[in-house]
Amino acid sequence: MNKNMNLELNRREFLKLTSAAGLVSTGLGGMSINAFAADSVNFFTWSAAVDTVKSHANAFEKKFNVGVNYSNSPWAQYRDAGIAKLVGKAPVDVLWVSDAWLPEWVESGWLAPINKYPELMKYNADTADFCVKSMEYKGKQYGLTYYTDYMGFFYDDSKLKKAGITAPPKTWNEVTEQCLKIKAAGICEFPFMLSMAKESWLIEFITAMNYSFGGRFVDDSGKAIMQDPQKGAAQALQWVVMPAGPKGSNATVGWLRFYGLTTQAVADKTREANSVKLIEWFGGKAEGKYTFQKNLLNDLGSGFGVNSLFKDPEVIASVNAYTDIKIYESAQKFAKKKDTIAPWFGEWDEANGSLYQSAVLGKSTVENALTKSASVWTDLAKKA
Amino acid sequence: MWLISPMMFVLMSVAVFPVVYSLWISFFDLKLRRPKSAPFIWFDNYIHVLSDPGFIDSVLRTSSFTLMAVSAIMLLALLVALLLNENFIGKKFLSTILLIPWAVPYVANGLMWKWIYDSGYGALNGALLQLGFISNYLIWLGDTDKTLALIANAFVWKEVPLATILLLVNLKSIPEDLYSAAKVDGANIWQRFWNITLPALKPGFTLVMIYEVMMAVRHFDLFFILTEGGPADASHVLSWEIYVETFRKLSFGLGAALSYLLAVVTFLLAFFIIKTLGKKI
Repeated sequence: MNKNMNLELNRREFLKLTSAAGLVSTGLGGMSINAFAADSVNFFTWSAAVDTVKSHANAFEKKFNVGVNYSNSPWAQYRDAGIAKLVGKAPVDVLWVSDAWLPEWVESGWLAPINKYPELMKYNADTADFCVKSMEYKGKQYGLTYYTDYMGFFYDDSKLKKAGITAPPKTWNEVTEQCLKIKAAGICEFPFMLSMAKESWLIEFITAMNYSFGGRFVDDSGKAIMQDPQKGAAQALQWVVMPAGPKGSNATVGWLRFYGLTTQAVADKTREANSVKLIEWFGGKAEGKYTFQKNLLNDLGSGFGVNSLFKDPEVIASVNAYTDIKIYESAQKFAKKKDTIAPWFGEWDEANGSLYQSAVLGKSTVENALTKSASVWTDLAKKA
Repeated sequence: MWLISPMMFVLMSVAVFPVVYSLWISFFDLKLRRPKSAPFIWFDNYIHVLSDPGFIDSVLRTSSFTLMAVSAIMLLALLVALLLNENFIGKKFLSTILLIPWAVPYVANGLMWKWIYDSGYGALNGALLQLGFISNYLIWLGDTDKTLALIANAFVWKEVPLATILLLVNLKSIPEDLYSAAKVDGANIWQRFWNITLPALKPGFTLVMIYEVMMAVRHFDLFFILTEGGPADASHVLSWEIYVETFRKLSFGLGAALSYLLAVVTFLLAFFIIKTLGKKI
């Protein structure tokens, strides 16, 4: 009886103690996170170049004696995870942002402009024009470049030579002719490769082709013109469905990922000052050098939007190891930002991807697909 | 009462609250990309969903997938269960092998089938080409007419073992005397199967059907890994629609309304199956 009583009491005591311990530890945990966040910069990225980022963040901590709370999420879930953090007011001061999300995140009040920080704005003078434009929304700039790249087509020189082709194509008509020649020679069953999978890169592929055909999805006023047979996206999509047409230029699309500053960081003077320092450390110069951009290039082969790096001997050597830096630099000058960047981009892109696939698979005509896509764009623009 | 209160608290927090809260937000125009404005809109989300032709298409695709997958699972599970109910050499080994797909997590299963179906290096193309069934590699998951069937195939591969076990347990419970008596009465193997085995398997079939229909209707993993709803919406089923609305379009109100509709459909299907097949369980 006594034993049972003791056991029961002990069990009750145990439950009380564990409940209390749980509550206390939750409270303490929360306190410690908040206390830490007050002095440190909360830095959120997708899980790319994790070791390179950590190493550069450690150097920042040593240099400025400011902690960096670094966290990351896989790219596939990054937008959802980032938005959930920002909506839930989890401490985020600096984060990587894709050009496609900029209007959406600004309109939601999550990103703060950096125009009032001359120590950041001075880097525009050394940044590729399309990169600066990709960080601007409604006349304000929202970050410094993390990495940039542009869409280009590669060709297999040996296959061209084998088919008796002496120079790569310059027009889409020549692409068609050379592909047919390669196929007829039995060198390759599918001489042209273009990914039409419905994922985040599809918009880059189709925008690059569209620009190359001289088309646009949206005009400068934000009105959908993708359905226009001449000025829209029809010629490029028609080429994918049934290759024909002599058009073609070197115009392509460039995309940018950048360091964004959150409004919650700006609301606190210490966090704001430390965050601006961190953005410059990563997106600008660290101790007078573009260290992080060069590390990214060397570790991952990531492109950069910093013009002067094309003259840097280390960068030249690094790029020349796998391509010609002169071609790489000159091709980047043809890059333009996507014309479809708007607060409703995500929703439109979802529908547009399916419509493109329908046209390519012959389930819909090019005209129908683009008319529907334009209608989705117009509806979303009206609702915004 | 004091002793169960911590568990009650946990249950209320992690089970009851999210269910009730998601019902609550289904009445709001809640979009995360404009979190400051979330007006209460009564049943507008439900009306929007039910009047959207895209939703009807998703329901039809979900029904088609469910019908294909559940029929194949029940047929294959019955055949394998009948086989394992017999005594033969290697029965234990076969029983063990059978459990492997069941033990494979859905994500791993999806990745495995993604490799098998791959148009460039997939095992399916390799095998069919070597056997002379095809002359060129085919883009399996790029064909809108085949996509749902191919995803259903991956689903069936994973689900057959559990269905087999459930039917096998049911088979083992059929009294041997019934078969002996039928043999004495001159019933052949087909008559014994039709008049004894099949009726006796009714509880097992009901259980398998309810479980598999619920799994198929709500299934998401394979659609996410293999096709992301494509190509050209060919595999844009209800669960994918919920994911797209909630996490890609960030329309949490609409996503919650869709989830509740799916829950109601699942409940009604289970209710219908129990009412029609399960009366004598």
